[in-house]
Amino acid sequence: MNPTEFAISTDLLTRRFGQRTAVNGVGLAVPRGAIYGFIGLNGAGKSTTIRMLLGLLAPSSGSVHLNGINIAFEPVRAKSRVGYVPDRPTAYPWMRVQEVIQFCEGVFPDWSPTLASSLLKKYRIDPRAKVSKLSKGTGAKLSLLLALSHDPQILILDEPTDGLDPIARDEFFEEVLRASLDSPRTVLISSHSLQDIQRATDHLGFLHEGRLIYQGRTDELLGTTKRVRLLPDTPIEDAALRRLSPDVSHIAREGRAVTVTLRNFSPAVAESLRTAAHSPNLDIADLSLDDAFKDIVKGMEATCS
Amino acid sequence: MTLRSDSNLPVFQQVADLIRHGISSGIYAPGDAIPSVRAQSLKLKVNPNTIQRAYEELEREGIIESRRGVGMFVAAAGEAPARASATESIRDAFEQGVRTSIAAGLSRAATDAAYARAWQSQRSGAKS
Amino acid sequence: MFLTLLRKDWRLAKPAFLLMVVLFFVPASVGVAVTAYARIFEDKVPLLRFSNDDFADLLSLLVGGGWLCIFVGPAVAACQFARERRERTSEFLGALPVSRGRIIRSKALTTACMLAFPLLLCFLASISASTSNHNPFDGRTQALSMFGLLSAIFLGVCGLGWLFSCILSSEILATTAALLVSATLAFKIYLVFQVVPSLKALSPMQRELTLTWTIAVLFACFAIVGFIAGTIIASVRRTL
Repeated sequence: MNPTEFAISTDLLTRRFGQRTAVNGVGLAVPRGAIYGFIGLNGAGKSTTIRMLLGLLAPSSGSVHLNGINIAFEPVRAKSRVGYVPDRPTAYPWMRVQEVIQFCEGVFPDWSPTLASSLLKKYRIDPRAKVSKLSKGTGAKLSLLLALSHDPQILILDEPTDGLDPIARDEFFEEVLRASLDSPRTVLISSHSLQDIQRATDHLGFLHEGRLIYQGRTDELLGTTKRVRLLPDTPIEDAALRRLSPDVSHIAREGRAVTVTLRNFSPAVAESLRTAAHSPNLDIADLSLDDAFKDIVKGMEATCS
Repeated sequence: MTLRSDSNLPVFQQVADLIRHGISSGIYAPGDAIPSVRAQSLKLKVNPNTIQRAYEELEREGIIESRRGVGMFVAAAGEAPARASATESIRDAFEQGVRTSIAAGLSRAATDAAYARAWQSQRSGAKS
Repeated sequence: MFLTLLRKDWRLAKPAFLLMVVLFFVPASVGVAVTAYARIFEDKVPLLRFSNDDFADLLSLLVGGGWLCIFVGPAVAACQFARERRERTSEFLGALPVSRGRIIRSKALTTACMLAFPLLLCFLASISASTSNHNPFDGRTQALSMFGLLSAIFLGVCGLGWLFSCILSSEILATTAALLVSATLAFKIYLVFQVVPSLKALSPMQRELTLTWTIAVLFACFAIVGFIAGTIIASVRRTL
């Protein structure tokens, strides 16, 4: 993999904490200009991965390239065109908003004071307010302002809408989309709000227990993950269904109906399930990202145990 | 107009349906401009590529047309295909209803009666 | 860019530094107040007519303030890394395009300037007091060796504060740890002098002198080891 092709790329990125492997051989490949959704359960290793992307945490092994620059060798150059929005505001709580902005202006070589002041007006943040006194929504917007005012090529957001009310969350996603529309910029966003992720992103990385289990286009994952509902004439066991195809993910039962979530859906596999179950009919349904996520995770857990 | 939060359809399909519905219900008349990809993206909080894909499908169906450098407009003959696809989605909905009816063992007459009741309640709702 | 970092680091440790400055002047202020009170209400002479002897006393009180600073000095050193970690601003700082070396240099320079302030004043006070004819320290050498002991202990405790600041995630914890370790070790050495026969055999004056020297050398080592080890740990840590 040539790291210069991608805005963000990692190679066999691994991080161990004692005996526990939090991130295990992850190879992110975020295309330039993409809005990349980074999803996974709590504790799947998303935050650890993101902290390694920014050089906040050194990996146990593996490498990170931002815009083709290795973060371990040239951290300052790699980070100079990256904006980071953490899950909760981490700017100096004892500073006033204006002072934090001045601080960042002194630190970022490409900081634009005009952009910062226009965003300040647009987000309706009081420049004299203490950072520690800002509401959650305003704090998130300040983080976004600080991340955007040096016109970064890469924007990395770690659960930025966690704990925001629905209106603040909507506004936040609008601003992220605007940031991506306004200039050729790559956005990587991790969030539990999967409906927002389904709508806003074009690429996905799906982390489960430290491993990247899917990476690709958002519509491709949803186009190839389907729920197949069978009404078997004779009872059929989960194991028998799983033996038919490795793509059988989650199996749900309700009364006599068996609903199988298939990854890499193909009509042939669906038909083989129908035949095996002696089911007279076969319902095939699309899933939202939220449902697909839950089914895939449950499927992983069922096959592992 | 916003996207429904309970839909399992692909997002580009939902966006296309939204425009089709907008045209067949008169929100957009032939010749009217429809929101640009950028504006629509920001309004619906949907990825611009997804909006683009929806608009391409609508263009292929002859419902909207792009005028170079100006934007997207409802095609002069765009209403008919929009209605046609509305008819199609109605058919999908009815088929679903009929399947439920058959599965429940209801007669044709009972199904018709249920349909008539639904029609009446929606019509009176629309008038008031 | 370096100035921006310096300003931030200065404000980071400002509360602890101000507390140290206040503490430094407390004995002298009390001295001035008591003298002034005596002048006005007992001697009935104008307030501002201080004698040379009064000045010498005042200077020794300033040195006394220096001894009080030992309790706050480690907090000044501990505020740098540990406070950033406790307030999670280390994440903010770490994501900025600033090299680790620059971050550490700014913190080290700020801490050095802040800690130099009371030491410099104490040094000047010791020197001036020793030149006055009413010298509370019995001669210049005595005054300077007292100053040497004070600065060794002060810097030793601060060095530990800096070291713990680079390891722990709270400046309060780091300060407490530095003070506890210093107090425990000083007390241990004092105990050693009470029990070891060869030391017990010394005359009281000699014993006191050796004890003073041992403590001075020990704390000077703390200072060197603390500042160097802390800086090395800060620059090789996997997270800031």
